[in-house]
Amino acid sequence: MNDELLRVEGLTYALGEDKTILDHLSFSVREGSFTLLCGPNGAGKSTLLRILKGLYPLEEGTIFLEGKDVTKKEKHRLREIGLVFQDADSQFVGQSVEKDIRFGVENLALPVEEQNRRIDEVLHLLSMEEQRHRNPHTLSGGEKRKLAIAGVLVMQPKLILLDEPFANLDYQSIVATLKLLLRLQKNGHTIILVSHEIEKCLAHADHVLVLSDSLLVEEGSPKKVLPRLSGHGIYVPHDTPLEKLTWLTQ
Amino acid sequence: MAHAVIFSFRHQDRLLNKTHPLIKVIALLCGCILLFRASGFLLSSIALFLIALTILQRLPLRSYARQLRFFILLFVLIAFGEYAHSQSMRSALIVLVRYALMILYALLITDSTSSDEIANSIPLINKSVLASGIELTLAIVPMIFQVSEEIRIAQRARLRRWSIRSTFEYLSTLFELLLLRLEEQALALEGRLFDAKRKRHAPPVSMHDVPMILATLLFIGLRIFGYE
Ligand SMILES: Nc1ncnc2c1ncn2[C@@H]1O[C@H](COP(=O)(O)OP(=O)(O)O)[C@@H](O)[C@H]1O
Ligand SMILES: [Mg+2]
Repeated sequence: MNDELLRVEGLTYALGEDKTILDHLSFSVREGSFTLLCGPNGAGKSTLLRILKGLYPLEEGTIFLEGKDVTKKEKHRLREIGLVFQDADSQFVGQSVEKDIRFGVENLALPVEEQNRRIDEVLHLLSMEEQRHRNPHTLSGGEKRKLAIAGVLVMQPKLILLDEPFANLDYQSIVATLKLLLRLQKNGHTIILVSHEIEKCLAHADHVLVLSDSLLVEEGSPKKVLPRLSGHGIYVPHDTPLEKLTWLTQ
Repeated sequence: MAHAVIFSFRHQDRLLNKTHPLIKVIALLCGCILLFRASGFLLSSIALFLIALTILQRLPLRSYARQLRFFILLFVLIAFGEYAHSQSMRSALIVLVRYALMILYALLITDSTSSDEIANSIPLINKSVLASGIELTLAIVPMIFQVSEEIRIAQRARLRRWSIRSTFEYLSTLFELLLLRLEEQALALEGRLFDAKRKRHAPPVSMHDVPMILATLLFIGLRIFGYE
């Protein structure tokens, strides 16, 4: 639990000469932890996730995964880091739920028996057995999000990145997604979740990063960061204690 | 998305779904070639065969109606051209039916076959990058229709009426949105370690293929013996 899984040093990304999107970010993420990355729209959160994953080229900075420098090893990062896109629709490839989940493990060139075993496991974990043969584009918003997570989980990444997983979901689906994420964390997965809706999940975070105007402006435990969030343009419900900042009621 | 998307795959436990993808593709090719010149008897037998399959397959034609309007417009133009050329109602009608049947053929095949099945089952090609090309191309076709439907609905919701200008706006939005979607999809593919040369497994031939083979052979026979 205390081992460092990911460490980023001086990560910088710019579009052209004058548009800096991420400016010398440095932070680390412990294994098995739940990190909440928040910040206003346009702060650069999605860009950061795509760089970590290895989809956008890194201009400056170093990325360490399990202590090893993987800055130049985009292939390695693609394999070991899973990214759930904000727009679930654009992530689907297969024409049924099962085929879509299989896509990733086929690319990993696993033996068919292992593919089937993993697919069954993920379908069971996410309670999606009944949707197995549905066309992904006919699923509801909450089911689409679950499928997008399934497609990533089946590849068994060391680190899971989620880009605004609560966007466009109703109350029930948000609660279900949140429960699923906490269960994954309990199973040992390391999670970085991007959301500006801190009232939905801050209580569960181990660590908070705040990105604003391409800078990492706050980093620390939820307790430490909470009083300073509203100063960065993030909505914080008035007079609510930290443990109430969740949509789970138990 | 509540509406069914045309040319998209639906998983079902029906005859056509169990037919070997390669045989379906060959049947489609033969069918379209035969239809090019078919009239009278051959045309009616193919029509009957396809209508039977449509019923068997429970093809949701009604929910495709809106997306089919593009084709209907096209057919009407072609039939009109034929009528202007030959001055014969009958030959205009035959041309119309020919094209409608070709689309019906394609609808039935795409409804019952997922793009990866087609890519997996074409011999020689299925071991190469080309298979992934075919697979992705086929997967993109429903996306085009879905995006155009979304734009149409959004423009209608904002009370856009038809005009030359609105048509151009519609087209430019369509291309822009499609490109954005494709870019996202490309990133998602890369994120899931897309391997164009990944191992594919061709499905075996089975008894379920017999009706399609027989029907196609019958149509070819009719053509050879002059029952056009
Ligand atoms: N393709 C692009 N061209 C130009 N600017 C872009 C592009 N994509 C993102 N940006 C800019 O990068 C910044 C960060 O975007 P993004 O990472 O999506 O922010 P967030 O996810 O935090 O809302 C924004 O200011 C946005 O305008
Ligand atoms: Mg974003």
